[in-house]
Amino acid sequence: MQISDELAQLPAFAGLDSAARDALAETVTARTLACDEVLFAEGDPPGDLYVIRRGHVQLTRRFDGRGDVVVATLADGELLGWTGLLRRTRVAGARALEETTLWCFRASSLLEVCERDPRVGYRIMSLAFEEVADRLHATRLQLLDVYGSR
Amino acid sequence: MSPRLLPRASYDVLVAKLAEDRELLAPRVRDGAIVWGVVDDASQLPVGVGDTQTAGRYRLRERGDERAFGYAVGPSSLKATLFPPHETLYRAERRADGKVGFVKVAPSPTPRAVLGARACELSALAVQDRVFLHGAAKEPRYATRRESLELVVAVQCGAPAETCFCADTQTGPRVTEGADVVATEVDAGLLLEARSPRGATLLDALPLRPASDDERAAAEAELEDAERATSGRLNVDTLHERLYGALDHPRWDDVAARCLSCGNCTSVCPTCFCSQAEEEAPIADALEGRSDRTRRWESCFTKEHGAMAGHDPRPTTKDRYRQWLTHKLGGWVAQLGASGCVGCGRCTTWCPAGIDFVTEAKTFEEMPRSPLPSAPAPRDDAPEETWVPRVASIRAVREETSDVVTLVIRDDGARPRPGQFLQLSLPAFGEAPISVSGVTDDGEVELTIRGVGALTRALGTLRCGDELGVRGPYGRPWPLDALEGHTSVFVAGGLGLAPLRQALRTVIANPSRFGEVRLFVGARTPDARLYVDELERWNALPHVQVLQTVDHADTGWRGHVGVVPRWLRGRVPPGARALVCGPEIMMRFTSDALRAEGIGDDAQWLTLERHMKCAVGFCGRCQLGPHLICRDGPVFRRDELPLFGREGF
Repeated sequence: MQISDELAQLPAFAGLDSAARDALAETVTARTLACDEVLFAEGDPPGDLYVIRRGHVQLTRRFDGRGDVVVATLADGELLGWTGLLRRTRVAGARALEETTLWCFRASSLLEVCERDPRVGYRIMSLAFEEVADRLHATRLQLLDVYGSR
Repeated sequence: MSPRLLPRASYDVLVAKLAEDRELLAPRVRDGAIVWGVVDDASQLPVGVGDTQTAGRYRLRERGDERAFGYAVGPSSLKATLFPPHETLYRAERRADGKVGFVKVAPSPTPRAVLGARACELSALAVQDRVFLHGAAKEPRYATRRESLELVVAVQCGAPAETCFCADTQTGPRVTEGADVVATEVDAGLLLEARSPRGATLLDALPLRPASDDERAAAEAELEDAERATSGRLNVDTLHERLYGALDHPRWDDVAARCLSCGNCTSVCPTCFCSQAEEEAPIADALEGRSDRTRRWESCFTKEHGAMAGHDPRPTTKDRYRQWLTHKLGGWVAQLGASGCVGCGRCTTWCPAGIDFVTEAKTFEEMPRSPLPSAPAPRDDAPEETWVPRVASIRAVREETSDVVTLVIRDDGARPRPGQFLQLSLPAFGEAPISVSGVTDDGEVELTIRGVGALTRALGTLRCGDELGVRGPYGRPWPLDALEGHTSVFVAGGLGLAPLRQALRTVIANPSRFGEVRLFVGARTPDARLYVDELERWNALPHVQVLQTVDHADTGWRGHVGVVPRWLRGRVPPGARALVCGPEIMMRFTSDALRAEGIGDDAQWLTLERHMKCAVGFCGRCQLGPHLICRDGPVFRRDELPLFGREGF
């Protein structure tokens, strides 16, 4: 089926075998955000996990006295809302910068797949961990403020 | 021709002949040491005085004979005669109406003769010649003094110190270059041999007699003894490559714990050529916009040697000692085609901590070899570089951001190529290297400057019609030919877009020659972005894609937020060639990210910033390992820079 095939195109899921992808495909629905539509807000209760098919999503955090600050922009193929895997409150808000299509992985179903087949679960958690590690690295670079007036 | 003997009683004739219409430099005793001084009478020579030298110790001693050249070498070298420790390069003035003037200061030629130069000393002069006469440019002050050195009487060394190793470095004790007359002292006097027509003329005027077989044999025996004493201590044959193979050796920590970073070694070294250039003026003159641009010896053991605004590439004593030793014995070979060490041992003798150069260097004799770039051939036709700026005028000033301006100048210099830089100066403020950010169709030059120091802030206050000083263009440009037939990826971080802009303009304007262009631009914030309108115009072209990102933004910014290395991921076309410019740390992570995208080190170029004072290889300040950034760069292919991104270089 197409969803499974399309998932195979995503770098994040390229390493999964077809059975694992089929299992994942059961948890997924497509979703489209309008320009400026808010997907979730900082502090929202735990929610689902997304992969951007096409478009741009801004991650924002509230900064008292300065309004919202953009912490990252995510684009095609990137994982969005990793807190869903941990059943955690949203640590950032997400807003579409243009019409954006997403794959939405129902968190409860995704976690069920992980529990049922630890091999797939390991793979999914590895992917999420890699993504979080990359973002940590990028955040550290941001903190270095490399372009600041020296 | 067999040598003839000048009897000891006739040394005064030799001194008188050499001092006739000239200043004669010869050894004298001063302050407990034998140093170069002006001599006009043979009685001023150090008759009967020898020296004892060990690591950290120098003492004069009574020889108990009448030898006038019976010592090794003193702390002073002829370097100070040709390249004085302090001198004025030019006088600069800036008037209230914004006009500037620069007047060259040149030494008046003083005819000089030298008596008593050792082989090591003359080898050191030959090394200095490579720096100041036969490199990327010719230094006219040095050249004047060199030409004024009319007559050199060398005295081969029969009294080497324990610290000497000139036979190992093949720079002594026998004199092979640089002398008009070569002498060897024996008990009866000086055995003299002419090595040039001027030397022969001198000898004709002296009361010489044929040397006896015994005298010749005695001279030869002393030289052979000296050769034995100064050999077998250090094998320098491949040491230059082995040092760069041992940059993490624990010995560097060991020596750093003993080194005081005082710079004595570099002060007494007869080849060390690093210098500082700065503005000097009484306060009243400085306030009136007048100053002298001066040059003084600088040591790689000081913080000032490598430090740029906010960044010191070699902050620790370990970094600095390693820089000195690897440069002296290694980098020198790559930069100048000859080792910087002539085996005189001064650095060991005059080290207050008693660090023995030979012992330290010997540690690395057996290390793996790491090949070095080969030096450009010495030039006899190097263009003269006076260090004196020409006057250029401001035609337009554009404010790019709150602390960045672009000056458009009318300048009579050569048209800069993309990636080259100019040295910009203002009287009483100084001089700094600034990359060319554009050349307009009618030949005006654009320079984009962020105010980070006194000079750059002052440049930021200039208005149309004001004048400034300019030298250059200098440096190796971007390799545009290498982009032909490939997709060109440009990666710019912050002000790094400026040195790339002219290359971008050229590549973008010639799609049939270059093809597609992808430009990644990183900035701190949306407000800090440069050339926003130009970026938009480029992005509207069918063969150009501009991908901008910022590190920090509020939600009013609808562009991308994130760091450049992550922004590149999955967006670099295969087979592309990449030109990168930005802060060093940003380039380091960007280079890694490009590699991960399949762009090898032979397909990436970047441009480096180091403390460039002179821009032509005279001042030694912009070193990175074996490279002089001003001369070999500032643009490098990534695989030319194995030390790029490493701490302490």
